Amino acid sequence: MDTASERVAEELAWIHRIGSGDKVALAQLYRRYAPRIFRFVLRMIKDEAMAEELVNDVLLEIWKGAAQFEGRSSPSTWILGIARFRTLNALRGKRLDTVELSQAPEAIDAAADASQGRTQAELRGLMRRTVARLPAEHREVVELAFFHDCSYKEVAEILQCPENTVKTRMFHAKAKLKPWLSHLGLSLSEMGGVT
Amino acid sequence: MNEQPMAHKLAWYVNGTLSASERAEMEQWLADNPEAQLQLAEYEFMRDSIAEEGADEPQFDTEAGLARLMARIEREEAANEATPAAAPTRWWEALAARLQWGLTPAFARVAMVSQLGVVMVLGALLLLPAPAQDPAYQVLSGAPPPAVDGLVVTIGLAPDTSLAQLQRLLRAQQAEIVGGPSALGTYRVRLPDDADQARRLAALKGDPAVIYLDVAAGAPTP
Repeated sequence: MDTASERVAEELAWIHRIGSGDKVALAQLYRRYAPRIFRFVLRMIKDEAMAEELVNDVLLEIWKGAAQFEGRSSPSTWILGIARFRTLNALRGKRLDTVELSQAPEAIDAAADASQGRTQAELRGLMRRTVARLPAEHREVVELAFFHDCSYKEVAEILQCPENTVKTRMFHAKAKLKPWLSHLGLSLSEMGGVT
Repeated sequence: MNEQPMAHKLAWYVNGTLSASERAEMEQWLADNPEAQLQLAEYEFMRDSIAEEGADEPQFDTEAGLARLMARIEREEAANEATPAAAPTRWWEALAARLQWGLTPAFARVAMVSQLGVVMVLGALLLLPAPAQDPAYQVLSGAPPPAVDGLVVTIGLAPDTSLAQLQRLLRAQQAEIVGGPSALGTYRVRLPDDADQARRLAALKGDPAVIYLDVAAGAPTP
């Protein structure tokens, strides 16, 4: 698949076929989206077995509701929106497993010596663990933008909030990571400036 | 250029989803802005970290998950095929099944039955013949015209017509308003039954303030 628009067109065709009861199309959509949904859900609930179950709940809902899909949003926005809704339902009454960065000093401590002899891959792993400690509302914006490549409009649609809220949450998420990023010693000379 | 909106969109410049115009604006903002370039580098590091699947992260077994989903769908389909044999045959049973009556809490059932009762009583009251009396309201399309002597015509006036102009027009033709204005702004005007009726009608029609004139059926046309 060459371009994003061709990818979207292919997914729309699958959804149309799924609406007519085509299980082959469902399998195609499943192979493309299940790992993404799994990661999205797992980051929210931190329970692998429950995340696996939710992936199939989401795809089952798509199987049953594909005929009603009107294409007002992109397939990925629709699917991730269902995934988020399902996950929040599953989490109802259960405390979200998040710790404010300010209450997780080990994350900052880990970053304090992050630049001392660690490889880039190790630093990125540390960053992922640190992002996982962000409050849910900040973390999901970061995940949707950088793992799922959603535009701010799509993130707003998935999270059912205004676009400006999305941008502000991202800005605050990075502000919370700022001490950590500073410890990494990121500088213009190291990063090579604007790419 | 306003700093804050640009900084708030920087993450989406990094993930490549800004529109062409937003992207051009961002590049212009970044060009001579070392602080923004540092922010860009930070976002790029975040993107690279998040986009990567960590070795320590659980991997999803897609084929096993797909097999479970297909089995679940087949189970549901088999259950649905078995359902028609036990399908309710009486209409009220079908309705109860459709409304999931058995799953509805008792208080909700009481509320629904009470509401249904109220709706039925109100419906029956509406069906009772209404006592003959003048209607207290009038539909937008207008009430049936009351029987009056003379020729009744409907006129529409130019939007800038003043009250004084209307009064002059009516006095000149010995006309009087017997209805209106309607929802469309028209008036029903009566002309006296005399030998000059056709002339009065023509004068009304020819007046620049009158932009619409409808003569009742059977009336003389000017």
